[in-house]
Amino acid sequence: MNLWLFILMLSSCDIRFILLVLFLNLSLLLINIMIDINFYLILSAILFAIGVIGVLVRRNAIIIFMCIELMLNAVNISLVSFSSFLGNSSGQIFVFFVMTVAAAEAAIGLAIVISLFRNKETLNIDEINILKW
Amino acid sequence: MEQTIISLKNFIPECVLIVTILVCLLADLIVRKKSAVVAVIGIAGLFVSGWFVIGQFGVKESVFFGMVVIDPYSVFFKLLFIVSTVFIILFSLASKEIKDSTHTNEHVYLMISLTLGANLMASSVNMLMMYLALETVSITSYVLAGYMKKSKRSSEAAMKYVIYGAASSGIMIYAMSLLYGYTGSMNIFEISSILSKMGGTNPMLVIVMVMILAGFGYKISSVPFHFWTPDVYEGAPIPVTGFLAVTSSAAGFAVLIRFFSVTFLKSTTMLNGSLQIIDGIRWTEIIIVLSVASMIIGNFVAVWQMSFKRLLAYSSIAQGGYIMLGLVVANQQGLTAIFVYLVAYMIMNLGAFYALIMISNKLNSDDINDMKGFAYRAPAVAVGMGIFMFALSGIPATVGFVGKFYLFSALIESNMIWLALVGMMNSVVSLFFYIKVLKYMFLSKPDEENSGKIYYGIAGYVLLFILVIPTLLLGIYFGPIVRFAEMSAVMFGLK
Amino acid sequence: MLESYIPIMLVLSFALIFAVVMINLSSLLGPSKPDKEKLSTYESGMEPIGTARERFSVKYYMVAVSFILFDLEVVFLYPWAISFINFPKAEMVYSLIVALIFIFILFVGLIYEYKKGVLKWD
Repeated sequence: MNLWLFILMLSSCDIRFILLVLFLNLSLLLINIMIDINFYLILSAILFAIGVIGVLVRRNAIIIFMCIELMLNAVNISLVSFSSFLGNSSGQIFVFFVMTVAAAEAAIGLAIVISLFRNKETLNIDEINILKW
Repeated sequence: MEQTIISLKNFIPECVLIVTILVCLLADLIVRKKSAVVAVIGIAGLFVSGWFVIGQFGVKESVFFGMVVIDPYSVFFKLLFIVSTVFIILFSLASKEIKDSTHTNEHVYLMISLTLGANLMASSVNMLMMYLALETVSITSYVLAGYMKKSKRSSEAAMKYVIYGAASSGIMIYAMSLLYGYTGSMNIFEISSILSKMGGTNPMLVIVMVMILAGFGYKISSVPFHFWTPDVYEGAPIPVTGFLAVTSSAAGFAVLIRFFSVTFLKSTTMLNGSLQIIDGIRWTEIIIVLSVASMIIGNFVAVWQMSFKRLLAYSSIAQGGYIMLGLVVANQQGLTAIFVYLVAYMIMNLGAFYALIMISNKLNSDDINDMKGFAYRAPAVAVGMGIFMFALSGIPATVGFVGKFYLFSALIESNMIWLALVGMMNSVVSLFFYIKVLKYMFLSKPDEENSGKIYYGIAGYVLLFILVIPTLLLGIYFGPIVRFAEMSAVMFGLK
Repeated sequence: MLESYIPIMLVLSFALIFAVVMINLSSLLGPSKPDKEKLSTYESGMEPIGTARERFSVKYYMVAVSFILFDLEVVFLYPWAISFINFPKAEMVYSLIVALIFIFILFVGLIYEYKKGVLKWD
């Protein structure tokens, strides 16, 4: 799609026309840009970083667990994309195991959250501070 | 199919453990509470499994399509784990904290599951298997740390442990996925051969290494990843604390040593007994930093601790630092020294935790202030504790000295004299806080209101005696453990 | 190089402007006659009872945990089920036995849960 033609279309004030062109243009874009492995890896790195920052910054235990799940899912994306890039299935097998381990960890984590909440009536990890130094 | 069946023959010890777990789980539903049947079944299963493990000595085979290997290295660790689990189950029968908790038998099969995970950690050579085994150990230890449901401390410890453990294993598998993408394989032998072809100049490899260290380092509570250790040790019931200190951290060492000395070494290793590190990946330097930091922080912070469990936590951080010194040497001798040290570490730590269980059963506290004049009230236990404390600090004629002696001589022989000096100076510092406990026990008078004699059952004394004997005997007559360690320091795939 | 990204930028900015304008336009132009019925919570046509922000019973949590575990363990059966047809005849029984062992271990867990009274609702 020629850029100048595109701007010309935008400047012609018929909204239906512009929408039509946009729609065509968008589908062309999606076909034309080959989405290679780097995109997936960048997505996975961003998700992983969000997860790590969440674990470090958030103060609610449940949200921390959610951030840990986010980290594990970032790992899954990276494993699957490597696996399809290399044509090697062991990465996808790893993903199955990461998923189940994440579920087990979530179950145990929630059980511990419940027992902590019954004892202390709070989930703010700043108030979970009997043990220190 | 044929390969799986052949593999199963080499996998009998683990299968026995799995069956034991299932039988214990079902037995727990049938027998009434407060009965030792489940523990007896568990210990019997562990003995059977140990019998099969001994039968594997000398085998060098890769089973289950290169997931797991059976070699003298893994057999050594499996025996270590099984012996310590038997002791820990006996301790938990004696412990008041476990007895008073609402569920009385669950710890037996949780502990055996932890042993199963630890056995797999020692023998896995595939990153997938390493991660799974590590998580088996982690998840069961989260549950064990929060075993006392009614106790605020216990559930707080479990909470901290689960957040810390889950986050660091997440970081570890992210690095594993990057390593997989870089080399295209999960098997550490294949990764090693691919890396030695490519050379280690890619800076990503250093990041990957540090991130993987976060996962393994949290298991061995090495310094930048040690923050959970004191809190979890203090909050968890004492038998569980002992279990974490011995089995869980030894399992961490098993997988750490295997991972680093297989993955980042040239596949043509062991020229003249020394391992060749792949160019550009200088992992020994990272390990030196971690090890020195662990020793210094562990020993110096322990000096101020007034809770015995926290003191033992910092002490085990420092001991982890000593063990890592053996990894720095990266040759056969270093591995032998690590094995000797691990045997010593297991015996003295089990002893110290058992003595602590005996003390806190009667005092209901692990504060050192409450132990004033304990030697006047229960002399045998205090003397036992004294022996274990001396062993932990490495006084000659105890097993702790043998371990330290082999480590430092391995360091000196490979010209790392300054590291050996740092280690020795740390031992001197550690002497200070181990003796502090004894000073409270032996030199100060007990308070007026509680100065009565304390008596234990005969079984308690027998168990203490069983632990004191090897601590002293192996300190003088250490030929057998050294020979055992030399025989075991053989890894699959490394000549 | 960078020029080829300008269409994406234009698409994104146009989409943003379009969305914002449309949403605000509807609130500007549309009639607004709120009454009590319209403002109340939509609860599948029923009269709403109580507040939505109350604590759930811990029983739901037990079911949720069992669900997570048993639901996700089944993930291992999918690859097995798909590759089952492709096994040679001789190995079919063997692979069935392997899967049954896996299910048996899960079943022991279920028995344990049942006996401990987790599945009882009251």
